[in-house]
Amino acid sequence: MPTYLIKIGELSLKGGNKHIFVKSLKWNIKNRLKGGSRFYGGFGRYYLETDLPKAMVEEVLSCTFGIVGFVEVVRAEKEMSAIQQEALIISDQVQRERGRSSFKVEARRQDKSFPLRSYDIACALGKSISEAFPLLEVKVNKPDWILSVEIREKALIYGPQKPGLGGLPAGTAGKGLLLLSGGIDSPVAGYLMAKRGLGIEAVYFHTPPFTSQEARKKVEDLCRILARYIPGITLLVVPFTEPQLLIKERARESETTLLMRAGMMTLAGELVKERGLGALITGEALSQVASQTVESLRFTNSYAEYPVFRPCIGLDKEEIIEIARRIGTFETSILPYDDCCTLFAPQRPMIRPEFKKMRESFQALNLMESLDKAKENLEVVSFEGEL
Amino acid sequence: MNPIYLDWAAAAPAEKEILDLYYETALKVYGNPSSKHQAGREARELLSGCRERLCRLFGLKSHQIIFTSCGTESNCIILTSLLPRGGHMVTTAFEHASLYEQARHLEGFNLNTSFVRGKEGFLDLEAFEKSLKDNTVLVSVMAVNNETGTVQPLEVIRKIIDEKYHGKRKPLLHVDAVQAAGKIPQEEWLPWGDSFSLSGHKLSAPRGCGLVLLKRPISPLWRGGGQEGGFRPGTENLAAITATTEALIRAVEDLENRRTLAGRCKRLLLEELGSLEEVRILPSVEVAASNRSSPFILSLSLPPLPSEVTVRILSEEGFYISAGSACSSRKETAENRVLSGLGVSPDLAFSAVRISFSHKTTQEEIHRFIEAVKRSIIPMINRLAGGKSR
Repeated sequence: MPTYLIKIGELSLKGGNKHIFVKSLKWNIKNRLKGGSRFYGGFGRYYLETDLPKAMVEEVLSCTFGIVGFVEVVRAEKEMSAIQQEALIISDQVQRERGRSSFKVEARRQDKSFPLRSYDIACALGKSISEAFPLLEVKVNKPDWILSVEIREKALIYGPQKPGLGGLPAGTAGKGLLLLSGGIDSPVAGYLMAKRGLGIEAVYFHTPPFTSQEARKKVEDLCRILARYIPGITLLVVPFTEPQLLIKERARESETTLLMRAGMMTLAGELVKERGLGALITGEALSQVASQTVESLRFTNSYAEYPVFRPCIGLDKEEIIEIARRIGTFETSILPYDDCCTLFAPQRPMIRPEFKKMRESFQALNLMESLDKAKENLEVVSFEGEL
Repeated sequence: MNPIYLDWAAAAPAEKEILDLYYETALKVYGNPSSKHQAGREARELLSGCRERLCRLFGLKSHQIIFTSCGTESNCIILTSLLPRGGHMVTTAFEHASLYEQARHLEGFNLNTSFVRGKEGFLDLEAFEKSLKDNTVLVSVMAVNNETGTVQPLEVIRKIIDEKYHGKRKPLLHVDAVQAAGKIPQEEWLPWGDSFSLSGHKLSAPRGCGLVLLKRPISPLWRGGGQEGGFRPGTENLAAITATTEALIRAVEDLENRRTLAGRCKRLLLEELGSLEEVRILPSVEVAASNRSSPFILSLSLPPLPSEVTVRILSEEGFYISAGSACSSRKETAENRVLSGLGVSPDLAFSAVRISFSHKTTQEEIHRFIEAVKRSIIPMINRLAGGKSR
């Protein structure tokens, strides 16, 4: 059965809690692959045995947080001719993919009955590979890639590793609620926090008929993309039209955006409490828009009883876009379906709100009843990572 | 309850008899009209039969009727014919995209274009006259504006051109008559232009057939198998041509009746909605109620609701109308080019919707639509208007 070697990097630093992280990782991989696989190992080296198609397994391993790198391992009989044959097949593949490159062979002999010592195995294979493939050159110090051989109950041979995402297994840090708008920043924020092991539920504030079904579908599509990294991500669609209309009716125009954000924070905080989550996540970046200045954030933040994670806070737009492109959300985020109707966007939004005055404005809105009703009527949608 | 369709100017629902004709033709007259065998001859005869019927309908000669695939293609055939020699062109800022965007595109070649704006729904004739130059080779003005329904003063435009170029070579006057043919009396458009674009599916024919009526010869840019006198090479879509011919003839022959029926719907809308202070009729009640406006189209504005929101609310209620403009993002206000080109203020254009109907639209349907506006749109407008001052 094909076997993959999985390297877990930072996970191995987690001391006494390590088994929790490994257990999560194992569960995350097996859950995504839906059976037909075996996960085992220890001491920083884990193996996944599976019959599932290679493309599917590689998709899962390259998108699961907590994995630094992985590679398919080939098994051979414990004979030099068999080992050499597999080593040449792997080297041929590497030469096709990379062209000219440097390599070294690392051998480990767990089974001491094998007649050649580790050093001898490495020398023999290095010689035959560089003879067979003129573009591959042996370089012991900092080679481009390593061919590894392990002599155990069988001989295990593998070439260069494919990179994983790093980070920590999803769920090991508890769960947070992502305020997902459909823009560029919030999916990136969700991704970055998931990378640190936070499980994610998302909330979208939907305001029909002022925003379209296409806008809602866009948010669902973003969840579908995020489900690659956060399998089973749940989306809570909150009907927010009534609170928004009340704000429009009752508030000063310049304050509407901030008051709407405060309403969303309040409602999201309630959802965190009810659903047993531990934190809020937003895509806010300092000073990107009027509601993201220090003063504005102080105000909106005051409605959250839980930690609010803002992983994009110190990033430039270009940096956020770069991540969005890498994780595949950018093209969807820029579709022209707005998450807020222009009707509710003030001509001159407040940039430096007075904390006390704004708190009073929000109090005066008397919004709680409509927020409770919105919360009661929310819809829940779940997204599995498609394979 | 069945949805009520009030977007006939975008596409008219197909009519069964016309569709049957299309189907029967496609099934039975399968030959290529250019083929020399019996099947080809049958197709050729049917094609020339259609052309003859349209000749009689429009009072034109058979070589002046050119079948195309749609209104857009018809406009493009005329505009691209100017490419080899270049020159100057005059059109309006409120043309349909198939003409406006094509004209803008050709500016990148050797054609300069003046886009003349309108005032209160009609072409600004003074500005129009000033835009005409010695090297103007083409003037293109639509007969009926597709968003407001205003009938452009083609007779006056003709007169201005004739006087300005008296004794000289006159520019070709092209008329986009897609919303005019079969909907307004022929004498209001047909005598004044040199060429015209028509489309079948606005009159319940299946999509896939348009027309150019060409009273003054041009030299087309395209070349091919020589079909349609070389103006529109490509195998003729005989089934769609047959259906479009039938639809056009029926519409023109039944014109007065259809105008009366549609006019009743429009009057009802004007009476019931025009009197509400939340509703603004575009370009004005006077124009919309007059015979300077198509009885099949009514444009109105419901500020501050963005057009798209109004369309969405009514769609949820089962009424299909059309947005005058796209609900813009908060970043930029996407301008409604057509309405602003006709002199409508940005605020009103932002909230404009188009209601378009046919002789088949019933008073009952219009009553229900008016009720829906009063029930779902007007209270929303009042709620939004009730906010605190800025």
